[in-house]
Amino acid sequence: MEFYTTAIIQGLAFACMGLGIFLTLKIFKIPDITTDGTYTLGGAVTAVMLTNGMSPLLTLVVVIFCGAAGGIATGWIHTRLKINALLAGILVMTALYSVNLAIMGRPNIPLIDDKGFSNQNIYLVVVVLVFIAVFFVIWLLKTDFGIAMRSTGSNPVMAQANGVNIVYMKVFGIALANAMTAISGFLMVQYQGFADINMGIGIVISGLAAVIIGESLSRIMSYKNIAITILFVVVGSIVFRVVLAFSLDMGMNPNYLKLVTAIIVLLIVGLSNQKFNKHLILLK
Amino acid sequence: MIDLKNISVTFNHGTSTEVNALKEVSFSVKKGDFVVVIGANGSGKSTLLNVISGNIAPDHGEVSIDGIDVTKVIAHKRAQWVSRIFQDPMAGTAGELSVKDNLRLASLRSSSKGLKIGSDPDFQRSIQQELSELSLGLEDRLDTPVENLSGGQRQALTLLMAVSDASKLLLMDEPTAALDPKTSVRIMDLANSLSRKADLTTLLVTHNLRDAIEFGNIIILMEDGKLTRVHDKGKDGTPELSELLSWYSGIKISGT
Repeated sequence: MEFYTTAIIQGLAFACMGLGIFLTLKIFKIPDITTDGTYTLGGAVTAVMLTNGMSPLLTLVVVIFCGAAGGIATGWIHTRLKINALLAGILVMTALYSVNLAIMGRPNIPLIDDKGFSNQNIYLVVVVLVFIAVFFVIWLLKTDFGIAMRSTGSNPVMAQANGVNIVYMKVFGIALANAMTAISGFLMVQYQGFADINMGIGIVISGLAAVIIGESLSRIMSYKNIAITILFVVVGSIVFRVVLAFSLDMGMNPNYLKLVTAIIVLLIVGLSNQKFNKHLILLK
Repeated sequence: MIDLKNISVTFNHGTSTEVNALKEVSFSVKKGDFVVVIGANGSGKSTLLNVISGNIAPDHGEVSIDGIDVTKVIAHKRAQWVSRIFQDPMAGTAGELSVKDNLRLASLRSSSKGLKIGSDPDFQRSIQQELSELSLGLEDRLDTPVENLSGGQRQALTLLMAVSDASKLLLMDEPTAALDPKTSVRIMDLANSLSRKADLTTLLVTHNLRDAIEFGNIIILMEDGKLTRVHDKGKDGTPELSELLSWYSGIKISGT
């Protein structure tokens, strides 16, 4: 059972990243994969600051700013240098690997028990932070600024004709997404008790899965409301982790974890594009 | 109101596909004018509109609105003076956003989009009032994503959005080209009445010469990147359809 509790907490911790991916992919229609780098960046900053005795709250603030800075780099390269968003993300992600190593000073930093939120508190912190993140995103998208953000992704020509600075909007969106990704790194490092330079490799798939599962769920239940879709992204993040935990529980060789991860995401994308309700029974 | 001085635009400069879309165009539009721009495809009409809206920067020349030189002002900042209607009925609204959110964004065209939830009951009542005047039933569909509306409904909504915030200039690029004949008439009437009501200076690009005669008080012809004829209804009287058609006769239809 503890196995599944772990999966749920991990799902929640990754939900922040899922919300970030939702913003870039669904609101701005930009495929941003800076994620792998900014997730580790969040983790690296967390490990270094906590082991140096800084307060977790200050650490969180610094993590948010570092994540945003990573996003701004990608956004700037994409909008100002007019480089394809995927490539811009890959460039920054690659560069961040060295930055993260420089921050950490070594490939792995364990957290001693009394650093940061202790193991019991981290559950509470995860729940509270995800709660805040969800409500922040829902609120933001409802504001006038949020309408401008959504119009930028939906119809940039129209947004511009209505006085929206679409370059600023895109950079802001990618920055916000990566700040949220870094929060996931902050949470996971404290939950697992260490930061590792390779912790971010391929992590973007967890966020993508959360968005895709969340979107599919809200589509089956035919909710059009953006707030409900956002809640389902959190659910999607948990579902994804639980499904992985289940496959491991069924005795799957852990070496195949990434393969199974990719297949699960492929199945969900594929099925949600097919006649959906019929296939969902198969998934169950 | 708008003054264009020696505007030139060249696309694909220095390559074999070089096109001189506008050649030293100078033109002034007075406040309250309804200017109709006609001309063959590729004669530079849309480029002219894009230069005024700030979406295309001229190679040289000067654009000013109300005496302010806006040549270097980028499109989203010019939106405080300029509202636009596009040929594609889908282009003027954001499909995934609701009717309400589209109107909210348009109501803030000239001001900043802040961190406040602006779609309050007061705002909803005022847009319901405006929407009901369109008599398209949109006042009951405030939360419907605009992508679920028809082309005619979307174009009507775009028109309403164009006049929902202070604006000086309305640019319309073949607003009815993608609509059926009945809807076209309705949209043009709506455009005319809304632009009169909001006291806007209007530039309309169209291939419909009847619309040109009916709505324009100034009709100009563009040929090959140049402004070749100006007909002022006030001075020269209402032109016959055959007269406008004869303007076209000498034109070579260019390959671009």
